[in-house]
Amino acid sequence: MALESELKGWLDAEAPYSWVCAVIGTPHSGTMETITRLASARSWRVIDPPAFEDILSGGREWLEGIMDEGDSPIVIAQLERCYLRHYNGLSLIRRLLDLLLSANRRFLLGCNSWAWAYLNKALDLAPLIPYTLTLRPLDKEHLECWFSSLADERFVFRLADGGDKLVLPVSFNDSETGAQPTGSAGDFLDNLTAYSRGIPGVAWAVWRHSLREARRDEAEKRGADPTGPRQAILVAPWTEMHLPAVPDRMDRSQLFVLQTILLHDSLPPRLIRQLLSLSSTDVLETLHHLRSAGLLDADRLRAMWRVTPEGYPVVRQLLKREGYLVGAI
Amino acid sequence: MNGNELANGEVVKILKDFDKIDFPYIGLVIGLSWVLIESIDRVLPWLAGRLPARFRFYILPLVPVLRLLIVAAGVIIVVPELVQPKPENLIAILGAFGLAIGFAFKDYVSSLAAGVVAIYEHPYRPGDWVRIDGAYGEVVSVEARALRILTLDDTLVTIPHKKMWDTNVYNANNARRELMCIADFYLHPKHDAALVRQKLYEVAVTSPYLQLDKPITVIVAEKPWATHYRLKAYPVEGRDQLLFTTDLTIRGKAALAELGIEPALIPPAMRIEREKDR
Repeated sequence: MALESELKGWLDAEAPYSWVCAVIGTPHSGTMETITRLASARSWRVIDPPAFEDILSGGREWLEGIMDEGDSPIVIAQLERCYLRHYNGLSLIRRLLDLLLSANRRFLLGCNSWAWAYLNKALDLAPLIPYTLTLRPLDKEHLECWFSSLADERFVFRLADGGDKLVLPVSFNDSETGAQPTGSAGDFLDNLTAYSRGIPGVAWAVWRHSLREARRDEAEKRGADPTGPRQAILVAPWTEMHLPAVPDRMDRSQLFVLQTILLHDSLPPRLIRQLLSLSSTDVLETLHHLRSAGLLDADRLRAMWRVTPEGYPVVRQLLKREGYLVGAI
Repeated sequence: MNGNELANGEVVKILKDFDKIDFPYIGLVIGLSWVLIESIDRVLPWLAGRLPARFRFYILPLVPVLRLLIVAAGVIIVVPELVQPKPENLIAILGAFGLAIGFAFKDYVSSLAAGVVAIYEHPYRPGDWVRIDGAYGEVVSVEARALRILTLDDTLVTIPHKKMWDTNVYNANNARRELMCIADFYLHPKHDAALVRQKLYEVAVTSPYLQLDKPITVIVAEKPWATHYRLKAYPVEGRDQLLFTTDLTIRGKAALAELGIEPALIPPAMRIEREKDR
């Protein structure tokens, strides 16, 4: 694992430059999952984030439960869940930072890039935790390999523009058009890479959004394919993609809801109401309006709301254009 | 005829001979003008009231315009009836008229000149929040003679540029998007000031309106009746200044109440010198 090899020097040092290492990731980048998987593989202890109520009340019990007798790194995979943008919501993370910096013990933190940007401004975090890493964004070639590896060998992906242009897989020798995706097929992945900014979760969601119907691959049948006939899954041309767009009229409360959710990765409606001093009606109305625009979605129980992977690039651009704080990367 | 001759009192030669002036015609023109003006003053407002509301803002502004046109037409008709139509007479009349106009419009010309200086010195620009002569608002336009500001009460105030010569212009943001806002708190003196200062900082740093790239400052001053806290911060958008200070005030009061901190109670007889604090 690339992260593990990057951390090797830090793990092996007797007295590292910084006992605390933070891995910063954009929403939908899979940073938390990557760190958790590494911790599980190395049998490091992972600290679950505190409950929201504990954050607002100071979280003394949660803080007391962090340290143990061992000396292996302790992992806090979701630092964005250890604070709330509320006047009572910063004391826990202040005490946590005091603990991390005084413990002489390795801590591996995972943090959402938006929360990191905010905490940098609010608590001047950067000088306290100078050792930071980010997962490299995926370029076009890496996305091609990743999508190809995820797809069953029985499928090929062609553009649904009436032609036979192949989008994936990269290794498939198409006897009609050649080995590599070309022309508008290649443009599709260029556009996907640019739109998703190389964020895996965003790219994956948009890729799945682009898939249309499956049919027997007629083009392949004309070639000499020793593996037998495959199914072609049609991919919508980029110009025909209906990606989320910003609603025509965005008021201040909608911008605040979007930014607040991103600062905390996801939030329940009651907490959005508390953090923004909005009424329940305004919050629910705003959430459903943004959901109908494809910018937000919620889990099955409507408990936690988050910005959708497909909508994330649009939301980031909107907030940046309006002058609000955006993610650090 | 030269200037000396005019100075010798031969101004009467400018006017026609008394028996050649058609007074009934002049009276008719004046009377007709008066009737027309009175009619316009009554008919157009009546018409504006009868028609759908959207026409009101097209019809009513016509009243002063038509009034001016009727007066001008009347003057153009009457003057040739009174004045001998010689070039020197016309020059004398126009000269006197110009002198009167000059005195009447000196303030206008002063405003025009100040407007030119304002373009060079930038005491205000569209988008700036300024206070001039007690009016505070956003500059919505800078025109030749005056600037217009829209106050926080949604009132449009027109201020002639000549005010710049002798009045201070207070510019809150000077072509920047953000401007400093201040929320004041007056607290009973018996409390932990360091704790309050920290809590007010956190009230500001957790506001969704806050511009995080600008500093937050909490100034503390002891007054005879209270401890005065001034929470200074910048919103992302200057137009949100009232909402921002409202947010700071509401959440600040809630935060301080949770700490058990009492607000100051000021005796009715004591005058609050807020302007001195600023």
